[in-house]
Amino acid sequence: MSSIFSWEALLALIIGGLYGSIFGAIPGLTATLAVALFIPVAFFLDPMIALPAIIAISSVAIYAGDVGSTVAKIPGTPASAAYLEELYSLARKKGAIYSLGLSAMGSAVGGIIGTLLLVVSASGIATIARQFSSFEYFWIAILGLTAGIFASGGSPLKSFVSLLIGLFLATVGIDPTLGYPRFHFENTNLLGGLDYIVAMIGLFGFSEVLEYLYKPQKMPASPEEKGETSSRLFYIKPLLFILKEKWLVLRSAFIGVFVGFLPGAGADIGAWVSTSFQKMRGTTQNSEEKEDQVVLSGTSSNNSAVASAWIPALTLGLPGDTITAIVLGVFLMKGITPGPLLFDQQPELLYSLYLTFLLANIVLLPFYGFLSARLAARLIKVPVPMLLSVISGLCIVGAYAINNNSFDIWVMLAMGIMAFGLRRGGFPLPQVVLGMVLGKIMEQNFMVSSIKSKWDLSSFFERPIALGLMVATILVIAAGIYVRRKYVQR
Amino acid sequence: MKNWTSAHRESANGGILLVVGITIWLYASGFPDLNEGYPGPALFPQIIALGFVVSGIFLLGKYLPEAIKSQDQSEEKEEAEKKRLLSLLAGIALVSLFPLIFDFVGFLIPLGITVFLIALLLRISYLKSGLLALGATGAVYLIFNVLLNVPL
Repeated sequence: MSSIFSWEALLALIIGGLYGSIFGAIPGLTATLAVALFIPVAFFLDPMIALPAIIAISSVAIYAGDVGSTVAKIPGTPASAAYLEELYSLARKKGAIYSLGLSAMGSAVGGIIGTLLLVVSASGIATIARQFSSFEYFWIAILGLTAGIFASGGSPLKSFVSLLIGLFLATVGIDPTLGYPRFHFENTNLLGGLDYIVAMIGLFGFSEVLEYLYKPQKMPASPEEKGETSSRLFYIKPLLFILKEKWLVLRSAFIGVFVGFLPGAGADIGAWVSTSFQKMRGTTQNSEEKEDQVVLSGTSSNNSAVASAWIPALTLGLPGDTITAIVLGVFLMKGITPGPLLFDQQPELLYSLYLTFLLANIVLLPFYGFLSARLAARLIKVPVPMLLSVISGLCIVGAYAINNNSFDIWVMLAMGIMAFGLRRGGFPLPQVVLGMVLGKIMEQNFMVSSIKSKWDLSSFFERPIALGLMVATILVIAAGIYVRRKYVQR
Repeated sequence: MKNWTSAHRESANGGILLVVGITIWLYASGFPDLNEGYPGPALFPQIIALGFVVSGIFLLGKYLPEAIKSQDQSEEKEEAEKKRLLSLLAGIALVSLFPLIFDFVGFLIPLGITVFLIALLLRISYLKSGLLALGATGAVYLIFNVLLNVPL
């Protein structure tokens, strides 16, 4: 096996990072798709080269999703929808280089904390993960949804309705208990359900085009970033801010790690819980840096979860997300069996993985992040109508490219029209995505738990971790109501 | 067409939610149950429908009395409103036609045409719209077909 410091492995890291930054920044192309398309190449590579490349691709692509949020208001992942409005607004107030610098540095620091926690506590966290049954998964989905209600800062009723819309959209397709097709209107394209990336493109990107077609308005211009060098704006200012907000970063990264390791949508829930918490805290403060704090909280949580999603994959052989599912495939393809024995049998592979995570966060994210921020800073200065006409094309391409299915263009359009209506009605959009992502998890685990317990619903309150999650949910509701009563309605 | 007060808007929101909730409930009633009569695929859609109905009733209860009392505010220029609606509908029609045309002539030509026409709707000059359409289509071809090998 080659070493991580071999020129082949380092080249794989560099090319992987570049490939990830291109994929992440283009609406419709995701980190998962980037890794999936890399598999035929990975097949011919030594694991010591293929795995670093996959880590570089996923780490950089997840950050690069924020470039789409900054320029076109199209988030790269459901997790980045949690701080989309703040990032978009911050870029218009303080410039794209600073806002993407905050995102990249927050991602890098979050990723480093996530990696260190992966190194020191992988087996401990895996023990907790083993305690999670369908009851706990149901409650963690409820916790994520509850956090989403109070994350908008607007009317909780409207956030609740937006969540309901997302939950309803998640019911389209085959149901998880009987395999019965629901709300497909005899259209086979709808049997597999709605793809949430396609939905996000319509909800955020195309609705912006429709909004402008209906009511052209002056968008806030991006400030001139003169007087300060790009590198100071991208590296120094965000790092100073991170130092100032070190507890916020630590808390968000911890939430990202300890929720992010849960298979399914752990990373998304982590980002939503930590940004929701930060938004509630922000309501109680008169700080001019509320948006900076929300972006930092979301982005550090988001990237710390990238590392923690590997914990169940390495220790238990269970994929934490779609990327680690592909990685497990690569492991098996190369004759490596993931699980507890991996730590004894192939420690050098594990050390090189840890090292790769650190290198990706310390070197690649800041490097490619800077390049993409420079590009984004130019793009957001393009006149809005010109940008929107290109975004309309990108929405079509992005929606189609996900599944190579032209039906998805109609889905994207329908989502855009719905989002246009929701915006005019004052309903927040990110909660729709949260509902779509968590809806399936919540329903599936509720039904499985109910059937397991023969519909004895008291069993949802009997297990200690489930009970803890329920108490956390109640605390989120209580804190949300308290904050609204005391600070918002005054 | 007239401008609505926020009470009118929220009442309309409430009414729509109520109708959507009832429709989902009725549609989901046709889904089968599990054995022994336990709820099956209809359970979650019906809980969601109930959520819509309750939210709708709440909004109607809160804003409808105010909406009935309040008068519609100043009249807006109907001509301008019509133009805005037409522009919106044209944008929607363009994208909805895309998959139909795409089946006959492939992806890139209708993409260029759509970007060009949307740019015109966004009041960009013919020349700039044409250049934008060409640039966007070329970039998409380069990135997807050439660089990333994602067939379009």
